[in-house]
Amino acid sequence: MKDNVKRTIDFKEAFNIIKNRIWLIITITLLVTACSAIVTYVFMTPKYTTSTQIIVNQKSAQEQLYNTNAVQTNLQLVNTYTTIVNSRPVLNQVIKTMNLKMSVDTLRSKLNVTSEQNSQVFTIYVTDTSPDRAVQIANSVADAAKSQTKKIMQVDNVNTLSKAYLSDIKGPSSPNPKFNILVGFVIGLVISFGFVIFLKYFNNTVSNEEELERATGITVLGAITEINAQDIIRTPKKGAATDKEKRRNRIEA
Amino acid sequence: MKRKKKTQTSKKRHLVAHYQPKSTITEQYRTIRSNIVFSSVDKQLKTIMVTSSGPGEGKSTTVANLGIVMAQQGKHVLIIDADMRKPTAHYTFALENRKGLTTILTKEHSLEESIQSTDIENLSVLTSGPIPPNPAELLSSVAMETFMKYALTLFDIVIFDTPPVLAVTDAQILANKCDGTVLVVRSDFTGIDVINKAKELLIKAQANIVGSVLNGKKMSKESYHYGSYYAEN
Repeated sequence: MKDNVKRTIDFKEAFNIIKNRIWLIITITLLVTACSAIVTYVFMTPKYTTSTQIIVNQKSAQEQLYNTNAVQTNLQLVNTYTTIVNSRPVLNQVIKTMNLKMSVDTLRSKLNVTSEQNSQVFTIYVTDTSPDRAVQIANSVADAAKSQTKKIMQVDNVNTLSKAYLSDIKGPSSPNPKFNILVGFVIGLVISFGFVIFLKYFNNTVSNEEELERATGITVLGAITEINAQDIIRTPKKGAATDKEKRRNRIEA
Repeated sequence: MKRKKKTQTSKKRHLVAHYQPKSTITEQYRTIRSNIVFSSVDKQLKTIMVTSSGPGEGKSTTVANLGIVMAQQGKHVLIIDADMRKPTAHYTFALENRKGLTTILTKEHSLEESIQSTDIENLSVLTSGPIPPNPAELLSSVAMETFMKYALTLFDIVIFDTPPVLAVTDAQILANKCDGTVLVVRSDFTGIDVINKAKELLIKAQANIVGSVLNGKKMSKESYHYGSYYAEN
């Protein structure tokens, strides 16, 4: 004797399940979205990103710029320099110069050094909770990179292409409220749907005639609604005329 | 004094069809009554049995009110409390239970001695009687057959209130003897697999399952408006 009869759910039934629980879905989704918004606006600290661009070239004669070999060497050097920027000597100089109260690793985590392909330019991005400090760090890193490469490489071929300016920063780079709220909304939907499916799977009862007939194949003769609620609604005050009776009396008069 | 008041209100709550004959719920019982009549095109159902998968689904209340709305049509109705393990009819109708079905089957009393009339015209009730040690045997006895035949000579319709199908075999025994079986299902309560198990057992007993009644359904806004259209209270 089968205990759990496997049932397939057709589209109409699935639609009804969702429709019956629509308020639960809306509530959970709204709740999660609101949480996401709250977390974004209250708990997440805005961070600002600025950047400065460094160009690698050789300070010697102009002709050498157009020498293919020199350009190639410069391109390879870009990779080297990006590594140098992230190195301890450079970062330590920045910390010392700016009197930063952070470790090298912390500072490094604020930096993002990228270089364009086939370009002698690399960009240093700095992200910090203070836009002011971000700008200062960016420019300080550029300077430190320049002086350290001079010292280490014995060559002076790093120059700032564009400095970081406070006016460059238009707004926080993170968090992204629209994105977070959207993510919250989607997660809320997923959770609420999952919850509804969970409830339906474990709640094996029927709540209306169609469900009863579909689940058992027995003709439904009728349904009796709950008695308690009915009693309260239906019991009139003794002697008081109902609205219908009042209207009828008025017309007849 | 207090106890009398309590039984009065609970009696009123159960016998909705009598105390509030124009309410929506009474109309729902009338619908069920009509549908039972419609579904018996070939053979008229004179013995109807009401049962459920498990306890607490509303069999007894359904039996009482169904009996009332049938009696209101002018039919002579006998309600028999055939649940000899947990009888409730005598509570519902506020009757004595010293004589009843068991005393008839043991030939202690006659049918005429044991049935009791109620406030409701055309409606009589046969309570269970004292609880016996062997309900199933009593129900499957020859005396039961004889009694049922005799009861039908005195009444138009006999409605049986029985124990749940899955609990004991009493319901199956009676389902075999009755013209029709009605299965009461409580909304948001009984599991679908449980209902189907009960259905299986009834089919095995060769019952004529007339249909099911969904009890305790939560009222939606639509049904309230449609219901109050005709009700006058």
